[in-house]
Amino acid sequence: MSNQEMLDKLRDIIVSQNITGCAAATQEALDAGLTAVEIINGGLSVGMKIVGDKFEAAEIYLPQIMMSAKAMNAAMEILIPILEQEKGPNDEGVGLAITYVQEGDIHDIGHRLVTTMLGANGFKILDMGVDVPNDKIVEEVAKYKGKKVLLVGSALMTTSMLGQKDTVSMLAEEGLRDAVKIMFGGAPVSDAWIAEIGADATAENAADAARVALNLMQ
Amino acid sequence: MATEYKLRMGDGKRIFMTKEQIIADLKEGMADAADLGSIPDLSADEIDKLVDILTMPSRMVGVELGKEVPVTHDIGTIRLDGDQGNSGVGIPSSRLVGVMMHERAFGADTMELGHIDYSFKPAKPVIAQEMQTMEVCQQNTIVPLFYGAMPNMGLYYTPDGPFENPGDLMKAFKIKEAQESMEHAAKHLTRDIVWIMQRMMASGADGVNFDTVGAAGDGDMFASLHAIEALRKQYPDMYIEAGMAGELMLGLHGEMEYDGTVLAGLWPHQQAPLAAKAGANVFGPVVNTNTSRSGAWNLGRAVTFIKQAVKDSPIPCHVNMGMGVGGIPMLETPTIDAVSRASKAMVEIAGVDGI
Repeated sequence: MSNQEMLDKLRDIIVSQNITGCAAATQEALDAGLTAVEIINGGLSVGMKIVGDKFEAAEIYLPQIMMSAKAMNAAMEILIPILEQEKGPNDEGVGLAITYVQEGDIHDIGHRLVTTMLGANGFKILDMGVDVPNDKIVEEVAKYKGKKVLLVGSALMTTSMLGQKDTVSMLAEEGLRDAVKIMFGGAPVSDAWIAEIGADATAENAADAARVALNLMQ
Repeated sequence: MATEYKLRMGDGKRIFMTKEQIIADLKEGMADAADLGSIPDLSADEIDKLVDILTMPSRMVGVELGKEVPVTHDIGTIRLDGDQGNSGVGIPSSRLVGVMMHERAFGADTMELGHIDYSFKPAKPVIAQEMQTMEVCQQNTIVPLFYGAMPNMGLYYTPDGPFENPGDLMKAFKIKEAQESMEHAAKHLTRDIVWIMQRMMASGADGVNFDTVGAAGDGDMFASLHAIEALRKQYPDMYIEAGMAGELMLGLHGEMEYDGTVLAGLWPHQQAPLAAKAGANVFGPVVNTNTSRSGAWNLGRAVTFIKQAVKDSPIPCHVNMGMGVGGIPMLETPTIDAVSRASKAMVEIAGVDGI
């Protein structure tokens, strides 16, 4: 099998949501001499792009995109240790994503999906869970001051969404606003809200979130 | 200064727009529907007509003479009484009085009996009461009277029902298990709907109104279509209305099919033929209102979707018009200026058979 055929196989495995097959094909590609970066950029990410496009076109749905993300995760579990070995000690990669659901809100399907997608796209993940108070978020961001950090907050309800405004202002009060990029998501979050509260970005869905996050961290 | 017209946002807020702004929003809403549903745009004449309707100076408007359509009413009996923890207007009245008022005073062409919980599942333990009320209502009225409820498949999952909640399972990436839970719940929902309607038909009901089909995703529609099919087989002359929950059939399962068609992702013009195939007499298409966009944007979008549904439907289409659907603002008591304009547009431009 040529290198391109192996990459195409990885792409198709992601699109067809083959979780066990993805780990095996990734190992096969590594054994054949492909690098981790080649496998991600030429195979896995191409597959996830197709999956994201199909999701946005309402051709596939939440269960299918979750299966594809899980397949990608299975590959990343093999590839991340290799990437970390290849990187120097000071290379942070795309960065650390601190993900959470806003205080007063326990709806975490979107939060988990976005977290998975970010992990699958190379972010180190610190998942703070649900119902997270703003002072805990500020505390966590402060620990990583000076590093490449992306804050990713989720809120399903308009009532909990209001807390996102306080997140931004509390980070500013603590002198941390410029130390972190901030993305917020959830059903009521709009571009207008992001502009109003001074955050950096939002995204339409989990696939879009990974793309927006990578752009923000460039 | 350009003349400004009074319109509303999707959340009901009063706004003022120039004719040019109205046209721009109508076209943007239309383009959104056309793009999502892969359906044709409205014609220039139809856009002009929509502008005329939205800029009419009267507070309320009506359809042209000769273009009147039947008006089907759903749970209206309960909206009169405000003493059951619901959103009624506070007129003490039984459901029988409610049906009679709709028949004799409000001009409803058909009417529905529904329980305050308004889902099929909670009607099971009170079925004797529902049967008795149906019988008494039938004895006192001549209006075609249906039994109505939501399929509401969410009630079959924990903590409300016996099956594991697919939301919890999916969070744990147990996708297959989540899909299986939906399939099990769908079978029980179909069974319950048929069981309830057998008893309501024995009590004199003229038919059934499935209200908000698909509210719990594609499994909800799957169960409802199978219930329609079973009821049609058992009651060849029964009136069956299949009213939807939204314009897009959400793919919570993603792979469920009815008669070889994947249900997830269907738009109104694709939903209608399936409802007809299952055995429905009337299809109730729905387009949800975006509260952050203007009434013009919402109406342009809703009329574009519904016009195509009417065109592709082999059975009459009675469009859902009420709070938060059909270009009407999301208000508990929608304003008459918005309701009458959206309804006129649906009749005269989308060509609906009823409301």
